[in-house]
Amino acid sequence: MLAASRIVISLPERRRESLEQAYRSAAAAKRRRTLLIGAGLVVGIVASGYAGEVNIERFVTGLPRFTSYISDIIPILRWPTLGADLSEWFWGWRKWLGLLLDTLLIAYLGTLFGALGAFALSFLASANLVRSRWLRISVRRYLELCRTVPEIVYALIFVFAFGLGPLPGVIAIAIHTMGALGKLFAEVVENIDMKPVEGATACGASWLEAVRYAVLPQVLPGFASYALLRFEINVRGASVLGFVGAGGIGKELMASIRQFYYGDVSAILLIVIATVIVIDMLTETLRHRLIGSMEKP
Amino acid sequence: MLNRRTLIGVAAGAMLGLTAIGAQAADWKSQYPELVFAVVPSENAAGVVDRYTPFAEYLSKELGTKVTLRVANDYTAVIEGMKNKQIQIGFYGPGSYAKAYKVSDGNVEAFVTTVNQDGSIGYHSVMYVMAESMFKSIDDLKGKNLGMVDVESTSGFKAPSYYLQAEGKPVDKYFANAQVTGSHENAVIALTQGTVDAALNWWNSDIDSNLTRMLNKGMLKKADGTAMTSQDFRVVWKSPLLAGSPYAYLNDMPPELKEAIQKAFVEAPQKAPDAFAKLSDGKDKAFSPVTHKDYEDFVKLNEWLETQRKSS
Amino acid sequence: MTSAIRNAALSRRAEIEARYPRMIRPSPRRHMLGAGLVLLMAGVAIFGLDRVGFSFAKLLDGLDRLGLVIGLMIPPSPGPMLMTYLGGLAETIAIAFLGTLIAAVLGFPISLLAAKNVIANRIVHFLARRSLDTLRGVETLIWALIFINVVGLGPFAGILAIALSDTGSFGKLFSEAIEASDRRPVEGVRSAGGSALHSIWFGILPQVFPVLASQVLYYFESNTRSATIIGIVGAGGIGLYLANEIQQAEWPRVAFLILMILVTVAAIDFISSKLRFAIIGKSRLAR
Repeated sequence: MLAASRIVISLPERRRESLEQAYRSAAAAKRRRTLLIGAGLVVGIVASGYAGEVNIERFVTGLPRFTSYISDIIPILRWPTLGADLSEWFWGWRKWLGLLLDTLLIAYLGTLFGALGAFALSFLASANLVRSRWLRISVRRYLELCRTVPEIVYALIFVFAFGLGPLPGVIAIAIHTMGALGKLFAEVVENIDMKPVEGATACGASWLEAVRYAVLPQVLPGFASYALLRFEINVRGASVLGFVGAGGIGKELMASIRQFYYGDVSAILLIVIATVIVIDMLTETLRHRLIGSMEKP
Repeated sequence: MLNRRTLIGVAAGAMLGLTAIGAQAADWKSQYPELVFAVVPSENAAGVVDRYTPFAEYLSKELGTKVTLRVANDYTAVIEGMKNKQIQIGFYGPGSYAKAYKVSDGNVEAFVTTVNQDGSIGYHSVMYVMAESMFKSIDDLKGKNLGMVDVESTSGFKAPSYYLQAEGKPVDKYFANAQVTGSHENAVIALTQGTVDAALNWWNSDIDSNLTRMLNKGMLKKADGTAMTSQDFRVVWKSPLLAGSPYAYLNDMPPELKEAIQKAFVEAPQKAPDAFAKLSDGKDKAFSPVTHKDYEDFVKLNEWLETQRKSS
Repeated sequence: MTSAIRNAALSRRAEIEARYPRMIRPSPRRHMLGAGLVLLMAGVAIFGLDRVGFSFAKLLDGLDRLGLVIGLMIPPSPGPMLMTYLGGLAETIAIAFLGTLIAAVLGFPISLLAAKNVIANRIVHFLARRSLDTLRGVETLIWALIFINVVGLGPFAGILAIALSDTGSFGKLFSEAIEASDRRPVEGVRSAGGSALHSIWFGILPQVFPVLASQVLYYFESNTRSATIIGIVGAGGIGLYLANEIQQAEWPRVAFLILMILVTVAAIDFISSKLRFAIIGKSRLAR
């Protein structure tokens, strides 16, 4: 230790100063950057708080209402009468399970058709398969457009065009999914090993044949994995499309909330949450299998 | 014995008494520096602000405390707001008032309703179709699409559900699709756009209904751009007379405040005739005091709707 | 096309098939599984289409009407509502910003609980993960409806809705990043005498911070999109105007609002990408 300090002292003055200065300016630069980000955040918070009508007082007075709302919507379950209490709470289970099935089907059909569309377009958007830059960019922009408009906005417009019911919901999810999956699929395609493609073309395969035999086997597991992820997201999305009349359980949930049928609100919420959790777990196991199979040589 | 001391005593007592009452009256002002007055748009939000602002200003002046106008999305928001005591005065339909009463455990009380030009109180629910359509009566609408207003709307959902059921045409079975459109205006627009084949709306008389208000504002245009007239619409069903839409306040407010509010409303046609007239395009005559008893039928209607729901 | 090459390649087919039978003819079992899966999916699809009342007539009718609507959308124009819309847009961005921030702040401590390498207790880990899943599972719009009952209509409810549903997402993502972090800095801090908190602050946090910040920025963009629609149920932002104008069939205004949303999201995406690259790029250089 003493030896080390002696070494420091024996550094020439100029050298030590320049080192110290470099250190100080680096530390100062870092501090300035942190302060800048901090200041930016503070400004952002204050401005947003103003624009967002944030009112701490209202929140604090409202907080007990959150718990009282939760207690409002959960009915009283007594142990001796548990069976009767439960069947009264879930009085509408047949109707609700039917609507839940509708919701799942809307999500399924939307994901399926969206994935098919994305499948077709993703090859056209990949840099390693399509040489025409113009074509790639227009397909990419189109997919981006489909993806950015929120599903529920599509649903609102499609309900107007196609009428009430699940059909506009399916189309809304399909278009949004096509945009979202299209981008992800294209990334998968761009990450493949080009050697099989080169090999196929070297044997005289056409573009389509090369895609079918060289690209497809490599990308299918990845495609399926993303599609399953998207299905899970779409189940959640489909559950609220009913708010605007596009079918599924959302309409019942909305009607129950709006008419203060508290027990129904909690019953339907529980059904939706349970479904989402189950689908979550199922898709996760399936995806692990797929990603596992992808890593096999 | 009437001497100076008694007189001074009585005068002092009276003054103390008056200041005590005045202090109590002033008391509610300190408790309520702001009164929130919530209305639901039976038309779009901007139109409602326009319509109600002069009246809110009159109330502020008359009551001596700030009256803030709040436009709520739908009756549910007003009901929720009064349940949480964030709203002190609300404008309801009879059915949504009854729901508010139940949800707040009776803390919401109706105090006035509007009187029509001809002195009658109350209104109707009607079902419109486009005059050029092939629907001549409600019998032609079996299996078609119906546009309702909102699940808490009396004329737009509750009353028709009840009366049509009684006529053997339960709304959710008789029509292919009975959808809520969000507001009375939206229901009419959905009708003109062809999204629905028939629409429910409120109706006072042929010259006073949501439809006439929309037509007067030039909101409805045909495909070629010309304005629609009432000739373009046909009424295929009308409900019996419904109780008048009530204004309601929170029951647990000080009695002096409640009296002052009711008085301000009742005296409005005299004290602020322009502000009052603006509320209804001049079609209403006055405010008439009411109590909760006048709406007990609608409490029963809500209960009926709830049991209906569970049995369908 | 060089059919000469093709023919040459195909002529060797019998030879190749003999040498690599499995490649040319995969086992019949795999074929049947594949075919079975496709049949199943098609079957469910047909059942579903029937149940949702699909018919080509309906589809074509609707596309017709849609075409009309799109035609009426051109040219997009806000009418007299420009200032109102811009106000709504400001509200939307504010909702996204604060919602994301609050979610990050709330999500971080919960993520520590949900990370296997921070808290060894399996029960705590399980409970934390399940509650995060529940938060995530409830769609933001539904949270918005609940918070409207708590704090009333308006953007505040929207902020809380986004904050809560994102807390679930961040909690899960952060905990995965923490679980994937290097144990050695933590062990180093511990062996130098640091407490558990020290080991988190000095050992884990510097490692995961770039990843966390990157995810927060990514979600900010995604939340901007969510914030545009929660107005539909009254939780503030531009969604209310959008829903109103669609219901009132004011198509030029609808188109204008959609354009506003697209531009805003693109801008936030751009800023978010730049910042994310700066953070991740720098951390990569640091290593």
